[in-house]
Amino acid sequence: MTAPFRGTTPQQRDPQALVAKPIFDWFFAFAVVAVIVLYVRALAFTPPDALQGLAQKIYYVHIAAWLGAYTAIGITALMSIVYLWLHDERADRLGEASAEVGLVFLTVGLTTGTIWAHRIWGAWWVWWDMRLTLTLFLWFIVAAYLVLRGGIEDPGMRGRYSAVLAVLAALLIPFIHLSVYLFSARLHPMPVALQPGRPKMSPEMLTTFLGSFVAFIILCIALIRARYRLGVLRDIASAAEIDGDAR
Amino acid sequence: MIDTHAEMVAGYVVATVIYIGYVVSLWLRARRVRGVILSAAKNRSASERDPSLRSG
Repeated sequence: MTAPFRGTTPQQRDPQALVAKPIFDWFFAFAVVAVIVLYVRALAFTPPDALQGLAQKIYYVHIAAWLGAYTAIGITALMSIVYLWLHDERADRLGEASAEVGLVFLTVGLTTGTIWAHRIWGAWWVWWDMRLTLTLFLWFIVAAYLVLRGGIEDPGMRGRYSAVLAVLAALLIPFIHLSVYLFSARLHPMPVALQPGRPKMSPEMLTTFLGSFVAFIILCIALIRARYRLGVLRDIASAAEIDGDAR
Repeated sequence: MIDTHAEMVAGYVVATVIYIGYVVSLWLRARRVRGVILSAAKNRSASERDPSLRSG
C-alpha cells in the first residue's frame, strides 16, 4: 500500500469523483470567450498601422504571448523555490504545469514573431538580435526542464533538479526584457505602448493592446489550472498502478 | 501602407492552432489517465471480491 499523496484531498483520491470532474471548467470557458472578444476587437475594430498595415495586428497576440510566457515561467520559478524550501508536492506539480503552459506561450511568441519579422524586417530570423536569441535560449531551457522531469523517476530528485533549472530559466527573463537597453545590436524596437508619459499608439490600439494582456493572462491561468488537474490525475493514476502491482 | 493581409491571417491562425492543439493534447492525456484510474479501481474492487485474484 502506498502512502497517500500530500496535496490531494480525499475527494480527489476517490476515483469516481476524480473521473467525474472535468479538467476544463467555467474559468477555461471564460478565458476562451475573452480571447474570442480580443480577436474580434483586434481584427475588426482596431485600425491598422499606417506603415506596417494589417501585419501590425500580430502585435496583439505576439506581445500577449510573451506576457503569458513570462507569467507562467515566473510561477514555475516561484513554485520551484517553494518546493526547494517546503518539499510540498503541490508546488512541484504547479511548477511543472506552469512550465508546460509557458512553453506553449513561448512557442506562440516565437512563431508569430517570425511571421511578422519576415515581412517587416525582411528575414525570418536575425541571430544578432539579442532579444530573439535569448528568447530561443529560454525556449530550450524550458523544454529541457520538461524533458528532465520526464527522464527522472524518483519524485524527490526530479523535483529538486528541475526546480534549480526553473530558477535559472527565470533569471533569463530580466535580460530578455532589458536586452533593448543593454545591447546596441538589435532590431526589436524600444518600448512602444508602455513608454512612460506618452504611448506611441492611438487610444484604440492601446485599449486593444491592454485588453490582449488581460485576455491572454486569463487564458494562461486557465491552462495552468487545467494542466495542474491533469498532474493530480496522473499522480493518482501512478499511485493506483503501484497499489495494484503491490496487491 | 503595404499589403500585409496574409501575414496578419497567418499570425492569428498559427497562434490559434498552437493554443487549440495544446488544449486537445490536455484533453487526450486526461482521457487516457482517467482510463488508467478507472481500470485500477475496477481491478481493485474485483480483487477485493475475489482474494484469489491477488498476486503473490
